[in-house]
Amino acid sequence: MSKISYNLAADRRIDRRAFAWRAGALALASLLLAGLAAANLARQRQIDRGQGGQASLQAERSDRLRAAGIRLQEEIDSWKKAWSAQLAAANRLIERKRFSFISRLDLLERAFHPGLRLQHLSMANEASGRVTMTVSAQTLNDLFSLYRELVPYDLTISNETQAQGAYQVNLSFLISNEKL
Amino acid sequence: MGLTAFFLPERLPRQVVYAGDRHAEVVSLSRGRITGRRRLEGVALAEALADGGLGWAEVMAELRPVETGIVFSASPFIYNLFDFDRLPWSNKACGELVAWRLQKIFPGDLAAYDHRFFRLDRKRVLSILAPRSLRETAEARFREKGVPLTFIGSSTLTLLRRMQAARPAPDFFIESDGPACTLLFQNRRTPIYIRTFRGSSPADAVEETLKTVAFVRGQYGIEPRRYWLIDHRDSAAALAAALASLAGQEYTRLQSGLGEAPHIPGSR
Repeated sequence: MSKISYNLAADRRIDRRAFAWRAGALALASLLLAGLAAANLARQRQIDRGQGGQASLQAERSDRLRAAGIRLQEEIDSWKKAWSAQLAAANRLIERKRFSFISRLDLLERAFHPGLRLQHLSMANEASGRVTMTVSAQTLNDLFSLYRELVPYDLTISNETQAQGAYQVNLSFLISNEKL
Repeated sequence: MGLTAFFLPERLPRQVVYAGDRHAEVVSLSRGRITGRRRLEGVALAEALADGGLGWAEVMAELRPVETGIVFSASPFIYNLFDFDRLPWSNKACGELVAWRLQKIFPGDLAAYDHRFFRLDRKRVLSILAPRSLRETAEARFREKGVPLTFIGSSTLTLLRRMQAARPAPDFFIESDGPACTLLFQNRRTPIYIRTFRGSSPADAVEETLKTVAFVRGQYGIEPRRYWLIDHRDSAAALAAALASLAGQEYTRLQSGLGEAPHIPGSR
């Protein structure tokens, strides 16, 4: 609802007192608003400053932790470096100590059936456990039965020949310590 | 306009001349209180201002050289309420729209009138035409006499403004000045209908009033019951009695609570 204020007179007079009151009220309201705004701004700034301080503390702490982490990592690396050589030597010793000719020969004994003849055997004291041998057999079936026994040990067959009614072949396979 | 009116409020005059239909009244005010009233019978000030006729000298003799206002009864003014689909935001565009509507219904020369309008809501406008010569002559006469004329208003609009703010609010008011009567109806504190007429007797006036109420009831779908009766001739009792006798208990007269001269701006 709009107020109807009808006055045709050209020479109107302003109510100075009412104007002063209203202008004063407006100025007061403006001041109050400005004061409120300033107070809010100051409070916000204080909060920001507090949060900034906390953030810098957190950042410092995180830097310290990161530096400690780097230092520890360097220590670990140096320890690793120092120990890796010793570890390799120890592993070599362990491998050497664990190597068993008897066990390998025992395995060969179980694999060899009648009709097979071991002509040559080479075996080294190494972790890989490479074994090479030359075998001769009366029948092809005997030879195949040997192949079947040695297939799980990465068997390589080479130079299979037949001469004078016998079959001869060179075999190479791996018997690692773990498979014994 | 609202902000200007709020921050630059007008100072109300210290004495007001009410220019009635066949009388004038000089009212002295002090801080809103009426300190003196002098009634001058047989003075038609609106006419006297125009032709310099009788009554002008009598009124001026009563005036002190202080800020003065003049309040005319409804007779010199032409009121119109216009409905639009939508009012433009700009006051200038709104004024042009109202003037265009006015030109369609007003037969006279609009240039001879001072046109003011008030937005009542988003769609309604109250338009007021006052003869330009009335204002110019009044200002010239007062200037000649050295009396500052700071207010030229309408008693009807003063009453309307007060009716809008009243609690409890009446549904309409009857402003009676001898044979001249003005009826103004409001709905939800917005004026919806204005009518001025002349009745030869209180019974005539009441009959016209009841007809108008019936029209408003049918046209606007409201039930006007409570009213103010503002009488400039001290015949309110007769009018109220006539209204009561014709309409029974259907209508309730509310006291405006605005003192003895509610049509005088700023009076209490």
